[in-house]
Amino acid sequence: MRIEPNSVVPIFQQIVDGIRAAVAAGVYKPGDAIPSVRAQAVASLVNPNTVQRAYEQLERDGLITGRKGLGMIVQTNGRAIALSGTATALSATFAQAIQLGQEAGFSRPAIDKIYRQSWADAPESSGRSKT
Amino acid sequence: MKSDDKSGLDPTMSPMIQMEHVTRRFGRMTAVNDLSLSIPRGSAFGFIGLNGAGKTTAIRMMVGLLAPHAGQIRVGGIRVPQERDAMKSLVGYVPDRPNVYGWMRVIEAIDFAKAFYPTWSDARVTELLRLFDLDPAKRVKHLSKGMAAKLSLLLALAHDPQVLILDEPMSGLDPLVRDEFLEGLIEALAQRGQTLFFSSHTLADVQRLADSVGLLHEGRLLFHKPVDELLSQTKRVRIVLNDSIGPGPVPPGVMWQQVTGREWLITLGDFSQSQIEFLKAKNQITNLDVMDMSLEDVFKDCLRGMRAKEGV
Repeated sequence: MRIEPNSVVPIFQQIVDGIRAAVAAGVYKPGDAIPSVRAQAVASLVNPNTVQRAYEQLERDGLITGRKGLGMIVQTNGRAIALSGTATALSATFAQAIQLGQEAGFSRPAIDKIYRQSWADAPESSGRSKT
Repeated sequence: MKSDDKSGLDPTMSPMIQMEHVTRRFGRMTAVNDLSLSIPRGSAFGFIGLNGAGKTTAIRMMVGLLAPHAGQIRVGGIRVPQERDAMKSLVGYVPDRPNVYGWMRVIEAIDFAKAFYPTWSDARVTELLRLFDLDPAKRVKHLSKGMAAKLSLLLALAHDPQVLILDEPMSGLDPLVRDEFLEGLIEALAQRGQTLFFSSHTLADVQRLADSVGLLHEGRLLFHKPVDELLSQTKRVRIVLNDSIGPGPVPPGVMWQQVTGREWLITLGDFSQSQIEFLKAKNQITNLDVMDMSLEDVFKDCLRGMRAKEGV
């Protein structure tokens, strides 16, 4: 996981988002252990306290659960929870984009048109279902 | 002290470091001015500020190398500098300048430092040499900057202190070496959960390491807040003004502001929606954006604001 320390996004949030994205993408499947606090802290060069807090947040979200001797395990429905978290983040990003357009005086059809154009400009991603 | 406490973050526990109304002067210059600071056990504190802000003076008082002219300091409940000797086993200190003789071999430097600490652990030294990838036979002057910094850290860790006090530990290290040093420090923190107090100029390092951050400016503490709280409470507002009318009244909590043509930038501390309502109600505004800020932006705007205030 890449941590951007100069970002406006707090590191705590970057870790939460990073693990969520990794579970959504299938890097960690249900029943898999995610990296230990120590391993994650050393790998991303951040304070172990921050990683610990991020893991506690992910546990509250129901994405992972602590198992004695195994560390943090992705829950059975972990992928669904990760995807719904990503959907929430996506929706917030869209809302922000819509606001940007509205503040500049764009109409809804004008914003919709730009949205459709963005699809055409987006890089084609192979191996993903188009639903 | 309870041995079963692992997190060390229980706010009801006595703080690991406590400074109360600490002042230190050098001649007519007040280097540290009425500084009060409380660092919870097990947490990491980043001390920031410009050169000459008084950070090193505050740190030297904290480790008992310099006596305050006023105020109280306690580290792990022990009064400093009065009970300095009792504090020694508690604290690992890395000064801002190297404190190791260049002609010594790494192992000789270790044996030399060992004499000063009754709680020194040879087993811990062996473990740390491996962890930090240090060659005990090498001469100190032949170590790379990063390795030398790691040796300083090893010497501060070998008596298993509960609190680590590092003065600009990563200044002058190139990016790769800094990563190496950070890795060693984080390994040590992950193993033992020490309280960490460090000063730095590099806001990226502070953001990586610190749970809370304090800004010292001309000897005074401007704020001390959890990093996440500081970032969520500080926002930059960009306003596009109507042609005819300049900027009007601002709400309380303005840290810094600047007008360039039609663009009006305002940095707001203690951010709330009511500040935005205030700006919208009292000004002729074409457009208003609220933007998140990085720690570096907050640091700069806070100091710009101070400078502007002082300039008037």
